[in-house]
Amino acid sequence: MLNQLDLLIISDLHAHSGDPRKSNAPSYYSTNSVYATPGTNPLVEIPALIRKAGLPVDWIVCPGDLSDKADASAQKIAWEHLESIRIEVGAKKLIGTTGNHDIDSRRALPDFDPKSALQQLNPDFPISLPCYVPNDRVYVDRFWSNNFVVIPFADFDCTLLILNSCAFHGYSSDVKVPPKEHLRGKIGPLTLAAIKTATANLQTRLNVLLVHHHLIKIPFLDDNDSLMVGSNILLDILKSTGKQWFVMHGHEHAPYLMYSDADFFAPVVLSAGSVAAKTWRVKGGHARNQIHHVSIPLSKIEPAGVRVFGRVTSWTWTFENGWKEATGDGGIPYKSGFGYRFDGADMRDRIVAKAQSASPGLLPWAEVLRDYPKLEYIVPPDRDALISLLEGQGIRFEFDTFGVPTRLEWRIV
Amino acid sequence: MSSAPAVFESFNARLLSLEEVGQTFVSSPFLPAIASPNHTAVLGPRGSGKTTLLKMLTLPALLRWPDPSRDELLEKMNFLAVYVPSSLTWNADYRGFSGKQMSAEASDLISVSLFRHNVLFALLDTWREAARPTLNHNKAFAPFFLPIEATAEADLVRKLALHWELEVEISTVGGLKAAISGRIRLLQRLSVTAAHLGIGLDQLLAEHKFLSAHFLDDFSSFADFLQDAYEFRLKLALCFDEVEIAPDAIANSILKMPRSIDQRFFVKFSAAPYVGVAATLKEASIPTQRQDYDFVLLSSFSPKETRGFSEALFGAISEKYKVYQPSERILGASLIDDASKEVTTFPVDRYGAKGAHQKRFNSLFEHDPTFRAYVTPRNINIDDLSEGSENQRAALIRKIIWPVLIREEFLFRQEGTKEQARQKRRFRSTDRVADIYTGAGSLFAICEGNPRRIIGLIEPMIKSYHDRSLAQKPGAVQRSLQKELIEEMIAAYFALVSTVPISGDIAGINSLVDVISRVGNYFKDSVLGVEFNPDPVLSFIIDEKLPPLLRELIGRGINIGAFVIADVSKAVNVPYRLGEIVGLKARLSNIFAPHFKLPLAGGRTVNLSTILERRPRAGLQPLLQLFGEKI
Repeated sequence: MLNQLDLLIISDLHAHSGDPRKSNAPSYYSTNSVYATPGTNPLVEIPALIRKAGLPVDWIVCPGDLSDKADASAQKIAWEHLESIRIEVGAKKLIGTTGNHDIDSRRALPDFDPKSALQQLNPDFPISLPCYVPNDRVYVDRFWSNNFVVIPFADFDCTLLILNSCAFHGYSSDVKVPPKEHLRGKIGPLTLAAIKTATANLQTRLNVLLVHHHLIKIPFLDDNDSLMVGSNILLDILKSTGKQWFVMHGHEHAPYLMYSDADFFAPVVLSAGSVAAKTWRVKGGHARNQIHHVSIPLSKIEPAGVRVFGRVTSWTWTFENGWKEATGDGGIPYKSGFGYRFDGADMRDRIVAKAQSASPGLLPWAEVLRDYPKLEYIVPPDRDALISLLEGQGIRFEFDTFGVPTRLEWRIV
Repeated sequence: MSSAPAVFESFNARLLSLEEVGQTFVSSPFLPAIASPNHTAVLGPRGSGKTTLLKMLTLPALLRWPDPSRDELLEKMNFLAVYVPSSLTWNADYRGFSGKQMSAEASDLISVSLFRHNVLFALLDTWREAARPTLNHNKAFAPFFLPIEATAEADLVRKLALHWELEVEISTVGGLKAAISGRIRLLQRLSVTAAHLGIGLDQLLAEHKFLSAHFLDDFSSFADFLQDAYEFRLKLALCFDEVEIAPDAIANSILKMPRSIDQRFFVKFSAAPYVGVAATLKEASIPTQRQDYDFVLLSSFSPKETRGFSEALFGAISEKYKVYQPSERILGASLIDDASKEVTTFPVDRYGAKGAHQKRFNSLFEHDPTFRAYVTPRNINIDDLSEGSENQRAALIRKIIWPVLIREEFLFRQEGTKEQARQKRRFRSTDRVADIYTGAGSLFAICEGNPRRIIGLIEPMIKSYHDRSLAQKPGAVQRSLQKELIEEMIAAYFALVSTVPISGDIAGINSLVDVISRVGNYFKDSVLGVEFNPDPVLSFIIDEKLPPLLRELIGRGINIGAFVIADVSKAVNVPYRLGEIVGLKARLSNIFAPHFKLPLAGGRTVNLSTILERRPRAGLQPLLQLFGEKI
């Protein structure tokens, strides 16, 4: 087994062929080469960004919406562009899943064949990986026929579940006539049952789900009930495997990292946001076009897979300014993690005691991490909560440019 | 010098970090004087390098300066420099977008407090810079090392916060900086609310006690802190940049500082030469040369003094383009190169038979009877001026070279037959820049050692040389390009000068351009008059007959670099008092020389009132003349 798995998540490209600077352009990712400069096309500088950060990448992962409004040519170019990024950063696999914009659900193309464009992509979509023999397309066929595919990766001791939440798009796509399938994701009962069977006896320590639509609501986002139909049952199925899953999705264009709920086996859910779609302000004052590097230290995950740990590095892109380390509260911060769930009050008291013993001097946060190393693997909301708890006990913080604590001081409240 | 390209693209040192300034600094003859352990006033027009020189005194700049003379300079510096940039935002009225005004006292109080807190920033930054471990590894820098150990930081910060009466969120240097930022934000809000709500001085002081604190006390307490914490015995030099844009209340405080400040401090400031607020100080308070400050004037009266620096800066710019040729190879020689250098031997080739100068002397001799009348009694062999090269005749010839060149160029130089050559004296109708202003020596003389001018005018020429070399078209920069760039610079300069306002009505004067035009034409007439003049008028005295408003206008002209004043630091009999320009000798900037067809050399002096009393030429409207075709 390899020591770690590194993912680079690039989601919701919404590629089109127009001028990305126009206000009605759906995204900043234009397939027109005239706009292929770092300040106008967010994908151009991604390989250089990763190289500069010195981060390895095993998989490039795209949770869907390669193109905007099923633009087949743009979709093809976008997928090929991701493949070229894969080669440039030295990743082994390019993995995708279907987004609602990838399917011709509203019959824009003359010949009605909603998913045909995806099925003709090269390299194979959602993954180019032989099952039995080279080029057998077994996994591809299973994805389209079953609406999902389960793929084992022995070298990572990992099971990857790629789910097609847009399987029903295109069958009843009239906004005036229910069930308006194209408006939300859906997993049908048959698919859910099949997933339950396929995951019943998992032995891998790392278990990953890739899907386009969101399974849970993002707290600050009003999504008009576009939650994936069947998501609650899916979550239940994932928990019933007795393992903690790592779930990646797109669609919402709002980066967020959290647990699905308070249950012990609640999956870690990373809402990837969009690398290029034009967004509007929903939280905070900062842009939210992001990509994320996820590093999962396999050796720290026990073979039973009851807890999954990982570190997340996120960057934010803005028009003309390009990529920068993520700051602010509009997305996932530059450095974050997941997997460690703790008793907030207990941890607060431990850290306060440490700070008091260091007083009147300063306590470096690095010393806190040395004593409690798992604090590197806490999701941003939990970190904010811990900081708030500590400040309530008289702790004062110094933060670095990216909002990570560097030093504490205890003062009498 | 990988950062050099970006640096030379920023003509203004204001925009450069201290490290960038140090990394690209070209050694200036003024630096030792400015770095001396005295109160110093650095005076100079725009672009003369004031900000650069002050920034060069700081540790980050000195650390990055690769010059071998650095350590020697450091040994003589017994002070730690604190650089305080000026900012328009110090002015409490800066945020007066509501249209309402505070009382003058309240405005001054907030302005001084804003300034005070920016000074605290500067002191804090200086402390942080002095804490860099790299200082301790270098013997020359070790005396300035003020470490901030991790275990001691909280205690040190608390002490300093106590001195400065600041409440810090967390006892770190970052926390101290955040506390100062918070105060500045509060002051900025106060400047708006005080105006809106008509809050007076009393109420402000009652509600915000920190407003009564003075930066002079902050300096002393900082010095106390350094002594207690580090046994630091060196002095501190407070370097205030661009004092002329500071609010009057602050400029006043700075100018008077040497008389009131703690002896552990030096004060150094930079300003344009004419500091209007100095004139409003009480008689006894006006900063005076050698009494309060040593004055260092960055503009030089003589091109010879600036040639070395100009060449060095030229070399630094050339390196950016990987061009490693001397200036005369790239720009070509100018006709006056020997006149602008310190030559100890008479340049026989130019003055000898058929030499460049001899030809011009001969031509003028042939066409100008007044020149013949001057030369003949002096036994000068017009056919071979090199004859008797080491005697008084050589000095005489060198003295009149410029008037000869100018007259010959503009009155008589023409192609054509001898018959045409015997025609009456006429001015050449072309407005183009003449050849005599091109070439290395002339270009450097036009720039007068002003770094911004050198970069602005000469860098495009170096780039052209580089590009032509790449295109296999070697050779000096074409004279046509040089003339074009000079013309552009002159036009830009006039445009800048035309923006200088007049405070009131001055009889017969509509603008600074007016004044420049009348002076320029007076000088031109002195050189190109009916009779050959071996010693034309090329400078003036700012005399007492000039009305105050006109003196103020001249002062602004000095600040903008239109006029160059003699080095006030060399005034022997009567020490220079800052802001008092009456009695000073001045000349037009050499940038105007091509326009008015003037020598790039000094000349005789008359009172400015005499010049301006002369009626301007009929029909001559300077602005129209300058911009007419473009209006």
